[in-house]
Amino acid sequence: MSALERFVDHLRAVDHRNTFDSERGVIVVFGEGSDRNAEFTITDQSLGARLSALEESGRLIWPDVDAEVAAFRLLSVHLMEQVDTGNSDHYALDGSGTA
Amino acid sequence: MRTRSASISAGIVAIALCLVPSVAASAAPYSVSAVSSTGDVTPNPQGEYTATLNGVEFGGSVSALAAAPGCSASDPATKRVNTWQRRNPSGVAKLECGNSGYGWRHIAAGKAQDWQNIINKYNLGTDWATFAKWNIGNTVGAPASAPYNSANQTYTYQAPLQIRNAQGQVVRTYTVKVPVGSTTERIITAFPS
Repeated sequence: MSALERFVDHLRAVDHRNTFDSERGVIVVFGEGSDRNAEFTITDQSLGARLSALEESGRLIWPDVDAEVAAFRLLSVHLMEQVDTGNSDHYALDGSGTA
Repeated sequence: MRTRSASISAGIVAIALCLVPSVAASAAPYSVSAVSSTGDVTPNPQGEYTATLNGVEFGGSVSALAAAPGCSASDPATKRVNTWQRRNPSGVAKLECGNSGYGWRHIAAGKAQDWQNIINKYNLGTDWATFAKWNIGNTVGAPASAPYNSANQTYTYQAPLQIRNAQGQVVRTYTVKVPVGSTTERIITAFPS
């Protein structure tokens, strides 16, 4: 199972409404407690870069889990934040954030 | 920050962060009173407002703008900026300098403009950092809800931020969200939506 597949599983655990369209390479993420949602174009490479950037922060917030799980958690919080505060309904995930 | 201020200077907007459901203004005393689908009313630049939370008015002062006020480039991520008591569920909420991924630097880099936009739109006459901290403290201290997400092990404290005009009418309601890690009690981010 790839990191992307594991991350999609995590997103579904966070909110069962979150989905992944493998053909389009797009995840759909819903805001916390809201019906707002947005699409994020994602690839194995962009996810890997983003997770690497978040591992240190994730470990500070959740020191009791491994680095990947901590980074999954932090990234999912960031994606929900983007959904709640952004003005678009489509973003592209990259190593430094979303655009 | 819990100070009572009878009046903020003329032209300043009043904000109320309350635990009651928002009530959209239906008869705002503005020369322009268009109401959007979210209950937003075009603010009157000459409008006079007050800011309250549970009966306590917002009395923010102006401080110098900085990337993440209180955090210098040499400060470690774990330097504490502020700590608030949080309730329902209870504990503390720790705001640390953090980095691009969490904490005060993350908020400064990604959400300062969102806070500043509200200040500018309603002539609040304060700075984003003061306003953001006031919202964080009051949200975790008296949340409308704080759902726990077991997959992320976070509580997301939430409260309605209400913008009121001089007549006390709600002209806009935002939802303030403050995700907090459940084990380390570190604030991840804080934003109005």
